[in-house]
Amino acid sequence: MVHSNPLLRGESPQKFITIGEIMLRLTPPNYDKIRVATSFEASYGGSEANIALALANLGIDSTFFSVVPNNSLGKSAVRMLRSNDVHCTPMILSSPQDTPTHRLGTYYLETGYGIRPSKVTYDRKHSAITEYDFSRVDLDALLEGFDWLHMSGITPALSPSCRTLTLDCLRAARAKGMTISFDGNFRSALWSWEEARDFCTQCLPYVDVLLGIEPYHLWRDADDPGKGDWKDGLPLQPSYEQQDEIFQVFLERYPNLKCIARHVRYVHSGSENSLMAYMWYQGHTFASKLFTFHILDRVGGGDAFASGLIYAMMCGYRPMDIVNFAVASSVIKHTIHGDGNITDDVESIRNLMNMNCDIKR
Amino acid sequence: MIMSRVITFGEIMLRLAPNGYYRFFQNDQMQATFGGGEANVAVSLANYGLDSAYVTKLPAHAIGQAAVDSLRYFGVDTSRIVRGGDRVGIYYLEKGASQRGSVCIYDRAHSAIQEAQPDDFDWDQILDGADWFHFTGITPALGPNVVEICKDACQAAKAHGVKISCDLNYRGKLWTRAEARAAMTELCRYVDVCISNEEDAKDVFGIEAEDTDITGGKLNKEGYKSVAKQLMDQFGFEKVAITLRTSISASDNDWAGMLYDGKDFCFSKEYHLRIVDRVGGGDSFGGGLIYALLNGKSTQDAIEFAVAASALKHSIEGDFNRVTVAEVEKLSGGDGSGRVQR
Repeated sequence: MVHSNPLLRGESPQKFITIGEIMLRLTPPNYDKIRVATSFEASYGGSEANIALALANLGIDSTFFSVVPNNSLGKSAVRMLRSNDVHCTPMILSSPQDTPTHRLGTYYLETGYGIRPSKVTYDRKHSAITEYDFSRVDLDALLEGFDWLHMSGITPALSPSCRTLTLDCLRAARAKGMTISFDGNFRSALWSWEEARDFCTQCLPYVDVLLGIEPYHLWRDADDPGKGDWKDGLPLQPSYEQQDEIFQVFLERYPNLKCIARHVRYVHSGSENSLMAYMWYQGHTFASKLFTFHILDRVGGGDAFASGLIYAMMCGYRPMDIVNFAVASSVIKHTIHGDGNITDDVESIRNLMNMNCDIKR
Repeated sequence: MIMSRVITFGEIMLRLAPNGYYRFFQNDQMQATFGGGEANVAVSLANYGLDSAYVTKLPAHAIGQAAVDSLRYFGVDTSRIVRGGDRVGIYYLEKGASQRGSVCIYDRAHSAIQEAQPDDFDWDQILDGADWFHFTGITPALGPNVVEICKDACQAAKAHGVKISCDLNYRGKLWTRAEARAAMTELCRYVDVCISNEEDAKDVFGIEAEDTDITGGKLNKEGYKSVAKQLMDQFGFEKVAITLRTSISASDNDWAGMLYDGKDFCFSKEYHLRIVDRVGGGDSFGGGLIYALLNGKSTQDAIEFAVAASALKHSIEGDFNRVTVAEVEKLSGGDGSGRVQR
């Protein structure tokens, strides 16, 4: 079926696909604590789904692949994505025979306010994607016709079968010559730091565009881990020189990397943050502007950075514009309720990216 | 008078329901309440002024705490709830209307209570000083480990001279008829007061009323007597209560009950219900019955109280029956006019 969005003009520069878990998100309204909530706002989210949704809103031909139970919960997740113009054609609506627990992963989000941080309680164990047998899926056929694959370190954290799926997808995409982006997205509730580093490091040789610099091993001496990791001691808000040094070590070890980007967050309070980013691309490390903003909903902020970066690269922006667009995309997301960056005019992000949003002192 | 102490044991779940009569995800609001067969009974009894304690296992996180809070609100003793595990079971409820039936989606697998182990509960301590223990067939349906826990509870109850009631409550989404029959046959040996409806007696024990037609809209009294008598003969129950629901549509039901004490078959009056929320309807019957029997009501008065309590529940949103003894007695005493009381 030919797909077109009459709201958006122009051709999608590339066909994008991402693979991951979509969850039901339950949020008490009005910054309520879960203990006093008498209702929840129901929405859907998940890192990869958020990126698929954001790119589709920007006019990219965007496809999401996942497994959800074939019930009202799973079907509603598909409907939400479709309403945002994400292709869900390959999605699997599983039967209880396929996925015995037959559940859609869920997470509760208690939205923070001021100094009270937001709190996520995962209820995603035994979800359909963790129980599905992916040996039944022809990944080669799934990825056929796409230019860009995005995956994250959340999927392999879900289950051993999802670990296999992640590596198999990366391999298949590499064999096809697709562009591959990967966001490490460490989730301590799902696996340990060591497990995450061990696994995600295995993914690095397949990656073109790396988002975030953890969780990966970057041993100073591969034969003697006792000598530490190059990233040891790197501050949360590194200087240009500190960041550039780490990027160079990544590039030396993994010459396949074409771009490395990471955002840097300055937390003034739960309600006010600043963001900037560093990006190595085409031989140089670039530092974006610093944006300071009030937060309505910060979940999905990192995903909006990724989707902004992917969009700008697909459209052939200049490097400084790529990194500024990525940060501006994330900043706008922080002002939007829900996981997804529902921003369907590129100009609003470009306007922000061209503004001077440094902290005024 | 010393307040009777009742212990109920089972699973409490988060109930997520779209506003009003919306279909699932027709809008993005989900009403969040808590409910579960035995928890609903515990709330009924607390509302009637009894010393009511609820036993389960709930995670330590905020959703588990919210479940505890929902019970404490009514004064249910939650001090015997074991904390641990990962999940609070969820059920999604799409309320039906007229010819569109309600839809329930369970998302309760791997809940804390389902994964609980027998040594999580010290029943001698929990049941010490109790007068009554209540559970339903939903609890052992959670798994063989929970069947064991129920058995431990029943044995301790017997040892402490605590009366035991059980609502058969067959849930086909949780176990097969064969599994249900094996477990419930074992557990019902300990039970004093059995609550059932015609379908549960058939699903669990293969006991059928002769010559009844549940879609015919007419009660066959002889058929229900036969079911109650067969249940009593088979398990030696002291009393058997049967709920009699005639479903005209999702919005309109007829509702009555019968209590058999081994001698008399007492039928209640029949109520025509315009339904606000029927989930927990059977549990409110159980709560009413336990209260009535603990307070020495006659067989006829007990069934009238239980059915009236339950009729009122059908008019109340949520799983819990938010009524007082006075309100139930006003209805069972004959005032079903629904006039504004000033």
